[in-house]
Amino acid sequence: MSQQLPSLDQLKAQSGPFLCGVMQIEPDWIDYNGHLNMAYYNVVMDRSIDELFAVLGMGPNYLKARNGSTMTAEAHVRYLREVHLGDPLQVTAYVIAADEKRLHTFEELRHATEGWVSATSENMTLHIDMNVRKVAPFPSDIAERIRAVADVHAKLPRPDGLGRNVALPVKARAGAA
Amino acid sequence: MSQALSLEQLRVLPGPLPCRVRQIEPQWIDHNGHLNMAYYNVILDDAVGDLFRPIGFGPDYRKTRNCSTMTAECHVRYLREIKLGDPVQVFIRMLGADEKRMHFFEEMRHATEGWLATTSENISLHIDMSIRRVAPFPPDIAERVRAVVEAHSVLPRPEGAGRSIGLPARSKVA
Repeated sequence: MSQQLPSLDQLKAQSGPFLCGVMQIEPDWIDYNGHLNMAYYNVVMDRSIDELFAVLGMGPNYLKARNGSTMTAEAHVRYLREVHLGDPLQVTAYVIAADEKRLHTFEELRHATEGWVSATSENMTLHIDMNVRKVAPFPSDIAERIRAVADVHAKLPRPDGLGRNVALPVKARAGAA
Repeated sequence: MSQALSLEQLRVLPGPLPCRVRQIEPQWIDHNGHLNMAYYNVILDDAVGDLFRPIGFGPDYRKTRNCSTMTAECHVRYLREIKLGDPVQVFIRMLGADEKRMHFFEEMRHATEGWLATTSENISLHIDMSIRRVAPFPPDIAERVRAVVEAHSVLPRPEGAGRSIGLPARSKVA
């Protein structure tokens, strides 16, 4: 990402979710089912959300400059439609909520030209002080930028699939032997 | 484990299935100097094969029956960092199943020190590959899946199963 961060006012003036760059599937991410293997969705999602973090001020230089970083605490992926080699992919990211040291985000992975959703990923990310490798509050300027984006995204409809747990359908559970 | 177990062997599985010990590859380490979040799923997905082969979903399954399994949903909790050189071992227990879905829970531990690094809760679907749609397990496989569900049903529910993602309630108010 560029060294020129959008200003706080520019962040506040956004009107939609954060749109990441288009990504291509690599041949060795395809498995014996002939589609993108479940594990490599997270490679695409993780690389994509780095673009959002960069805009928030936690880009490649953040670790060096401030000795802070982010680590994922939890990730919940729903695989909704297969993608294959050659399908261009694009992630749309939402900041759902944040507190002083955590960021709750949601990603939609879409076919970049046809628009359909292939997968969603809900994440909890922690801000880490790399001196002690422990969770620590965001610096105040970063917290302000996160709040600006969270406020913009709070006005959008909540993405479908948010807040789910993993379970068999109730009907199926009742019928299970 | 590389081969299918007998139905009797599946019925008496004594605990979560221990998968073979796996090593971290250098290209899976990220700028934080630890196993990148994405590559946990490479290990966890590979380990599922160690459960699926004994059940009967081995390399021949796709060829002989034209069916396969696909992941529908996966929830990973990253509890402790893993570094290059840490050997890891995954333990899997089946939490439930119906005629076409399996619900299972994986714990990834440091293979020699035993501490828990990660958990992963999954729903896998049985797929008829001739139409690439969800389809019921063949009866013999359904019986084998049920045998594992029953063997594991006596185990305590794993800590962390059934969670959804959210900020702590205290934080949301602030």
